[in-house]
Amino acid sequence: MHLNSKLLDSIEMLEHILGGITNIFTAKNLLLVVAGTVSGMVVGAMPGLTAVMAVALLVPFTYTMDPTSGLVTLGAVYMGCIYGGAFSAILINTPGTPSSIGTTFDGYPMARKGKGEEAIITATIASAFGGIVGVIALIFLSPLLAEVALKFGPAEYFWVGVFGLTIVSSLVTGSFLKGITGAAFGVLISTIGIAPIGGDVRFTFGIPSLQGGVELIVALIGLFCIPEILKMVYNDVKTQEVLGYNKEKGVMWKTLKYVLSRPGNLIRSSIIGTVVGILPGAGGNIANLVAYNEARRASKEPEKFGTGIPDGIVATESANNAVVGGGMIPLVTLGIPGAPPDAIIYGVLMLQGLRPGPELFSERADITFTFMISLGVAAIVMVPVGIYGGRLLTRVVSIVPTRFLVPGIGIFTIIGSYAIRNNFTDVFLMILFGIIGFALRYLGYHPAPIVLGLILGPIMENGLVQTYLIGQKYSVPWLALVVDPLSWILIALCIFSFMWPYFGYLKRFIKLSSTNR
Amino acid sequence: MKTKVLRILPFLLMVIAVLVIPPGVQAGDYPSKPLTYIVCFNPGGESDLTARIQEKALEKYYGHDVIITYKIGGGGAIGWSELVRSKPDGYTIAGDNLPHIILQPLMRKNAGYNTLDLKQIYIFESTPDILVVHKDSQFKTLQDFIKYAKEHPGVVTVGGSGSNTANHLGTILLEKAAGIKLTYIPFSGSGTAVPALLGKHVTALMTYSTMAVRYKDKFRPLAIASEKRMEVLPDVPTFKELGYNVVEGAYRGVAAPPGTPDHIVNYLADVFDKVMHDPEVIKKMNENGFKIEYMKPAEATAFVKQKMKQYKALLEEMGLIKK
Amino acid sequence: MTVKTRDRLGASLLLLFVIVLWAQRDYLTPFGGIFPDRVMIIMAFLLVLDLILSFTPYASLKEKEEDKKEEETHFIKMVIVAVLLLLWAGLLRYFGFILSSISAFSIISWFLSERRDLRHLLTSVFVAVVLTYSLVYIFEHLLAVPLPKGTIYE
Repeated sequence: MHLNSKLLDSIEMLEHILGGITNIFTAKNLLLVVAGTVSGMVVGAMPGLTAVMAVALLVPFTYTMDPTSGLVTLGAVYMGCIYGGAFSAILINTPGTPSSIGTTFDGYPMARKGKGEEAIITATIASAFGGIVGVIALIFLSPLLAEVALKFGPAEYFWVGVFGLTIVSSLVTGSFLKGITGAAFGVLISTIGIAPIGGDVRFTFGIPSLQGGVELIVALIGLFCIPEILKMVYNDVKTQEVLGYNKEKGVMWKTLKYVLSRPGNLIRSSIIGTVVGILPGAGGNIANLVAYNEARRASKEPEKFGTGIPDGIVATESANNAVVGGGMIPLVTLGIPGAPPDAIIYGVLMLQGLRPGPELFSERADITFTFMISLGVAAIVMVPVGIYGGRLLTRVVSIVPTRFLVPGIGIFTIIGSYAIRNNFTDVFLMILFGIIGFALRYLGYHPAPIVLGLILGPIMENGLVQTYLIGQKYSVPWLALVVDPLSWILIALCIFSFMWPYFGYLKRFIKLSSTNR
Repeated sequence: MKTKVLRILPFLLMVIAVLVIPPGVQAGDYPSKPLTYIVCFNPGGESDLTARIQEKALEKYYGHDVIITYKIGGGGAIGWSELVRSKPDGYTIAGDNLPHIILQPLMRKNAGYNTLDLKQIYIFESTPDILVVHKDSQFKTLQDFIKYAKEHPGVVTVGGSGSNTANHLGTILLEKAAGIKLTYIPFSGSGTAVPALLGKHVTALMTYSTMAVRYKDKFRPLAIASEKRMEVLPDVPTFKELGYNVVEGAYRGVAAPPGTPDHIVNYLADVFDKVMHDPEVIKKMNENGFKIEYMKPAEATAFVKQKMKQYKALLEEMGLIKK
Repeated sequence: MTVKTRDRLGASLLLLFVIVLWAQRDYLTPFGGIFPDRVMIIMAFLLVLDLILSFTPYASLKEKEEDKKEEETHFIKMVIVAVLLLLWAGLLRYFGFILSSISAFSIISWFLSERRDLRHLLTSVFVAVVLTYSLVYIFEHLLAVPLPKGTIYE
């Protein structure tokens, strides 16, 4: 009986996957995937423009699309952007996105040695492979997790929120104290507007249009895009010199053979990317460095890393593209973004009336599976685009001067924040958020925890107050927060991630004391 | 240098001309332009669903395009405060929602609009409250439910869509009518509450008839808060039949900005009257569990006023507003 | 600015924000405040902790670690661009998307040019016009996303 239902489930899932494949191979959706991948690559290849920005800048294009097309486009943008970052990492020695920081370590030395094409092809193969691994994890893990999500009551959602905040604060660079303060700041911003429980009007500064609270996408566009362009002006970024590379015969096959002959690195890095992606808030910027370190540790010739060997590129580029699929897993099941760009995809899901959770895998399965499979298709599309169009792309991208880039990004941020709900206050708020975001970053507060706080705030508030209400049957209502064994697991995870930054100190301390001896 | 400037000059002039000349405003009989229909709630919610069902028929009877736009936030307040500031030319209307448009101005210092600012065009549907439990629940009838709640005051949790909504009021009315104490748990939107009952985190849901229809095979409806049984749910008794005077639900319609001329309001009311008598629309509304209403401007306004009195009294009794 | 001053400035500004929110507390029901009140208290505690830490030897330790040499920066230029962006957003309602975007884009682009001469002004205006109109075409005509028309034309 039990086995039977399991079998039925698998058959149903197979049907959904096949349905998704047929959906994606329509002229319209395929075109959107290609267009999205290319636009993502263009933005990704521009130094300083991150994947979050790419998705945030291109989000207004999807406002009037149907949910499937909108998600397919943004997913492809995200995938393409992470890959595009490799071009500037290799050819300009500046990571196009923070996800490609590690790619500069070996990519640029390779290009200097005249092995530019080999480096690009290595990055391409690794990116496509990592991307597909992440997507496979997404397709097969998330329906299972969505079933588990049904067991999550209000108390569990509260603890998941706490877990997300502690982990991102301990993972981003800078001090843990500042990370958690930034997260609290984001949470406070999220409480502006109508209270979800009780209906009180809070913190509106007397402005009626703040009743609706701060629209997530508006805050995201502001926090991620405006500080970048202000930074360009502040540091007076000049366009950099691009290393050229020539096409050689046979390089393609030689590289492919080399990369695939060492599957260990490829698979290990892809799994690291997927797992880091699943962790709330931690994205490609962390995954690529972790994968690079692990690859060096596992290598027989660790001293060669950093001198321009393909293995370094394989590690970083497969890991950062695996983050794309991995990061979507908590997003579609729990509504918690695994990596910063997922935050914007979350906003789009909300906008389209798609609630993360089991519903996405039953009633809305057609949309969900088409979207997930399209990510895989985007990873494949990158290969020909990157190999044949890559040179042209870097050429074009590197000549856009700052004076056009700054107002050019500005115009997209304005469209994006206005068109989301046709509200002028939103545009003003977006710019304001950007300026605040820039100031806070200067003062040491990273935007990632702030954004995660913004998203997790309502989840935590609903969870906390609903639990309090459910707990009315106990003499101490807050007891309801800790009665469920599922809550215990989550609380343990919270404590673990809270202590995480101190493990580093501990390790250093032990090392120090043992060497002293 | 100078010649270069001269060469570009005509082009620049053209650009300036394009910029400065305002877009032509056409005069003529109403309607001569597309109609903007503002939806104040998330896509996929009841308001959006209705607007999408009406769209085609609306274009047919209105005679021009209908543009559906979203102004979401504040439980609808953002859209309505925008509407009352729009030009009263009959080309901008918004879907509105009872009890929201009554409760918000009552309970907020500055909701951005007053209830009677919204000029009622037509009220076209209602979704009565309905009490549902999980299919596996120990409660088979309303009597079981009330008996248990009497014995265990405050232990029974009832989820619903938000605070100060029809679901919330329905729960309060049931508490009063049956003399029981329930714990109402607000969720953000009727859809968000559904997984809570699926995962058995709440005992029951006070939800809209639409949800009971959509989750027929997972939930068991106990009673519906309408005057008469609904056609799509023939087996569900009304609270009234069972001896509890609970009649509550959300009513939806469309409204125009204050100051919109009466002839335009009446014209639009006729259009909506035709839309709601369209067989295709009727079929879809019924399938989705909506109850169709036919309230023209005068009737709709009177209904809003009557509800205002009723809700004000109820809120004062609950101590939620000052007298 | 040294790390220490940054720490103090950041913590003070955020503390001010918390106080401004706290002053607005005016809940109608017992539920509206449960969550934000606790978050405000936690955040204030963290900020005070940060402030205190900046006065201890721990802070000067950090300073040695993190204080890199400052690169050449352009603070005033950045402030001007920020103000221009705010103006762009503010004027959108009145002048509409087309006029405000063309002017704001041209001014920012010209302002950031190496030399602020006529040639750069013309290229700035040209790019602004082409970009704005293509975006209007894409959004309004292809995607049916409405952009602001501007109230001065009404």
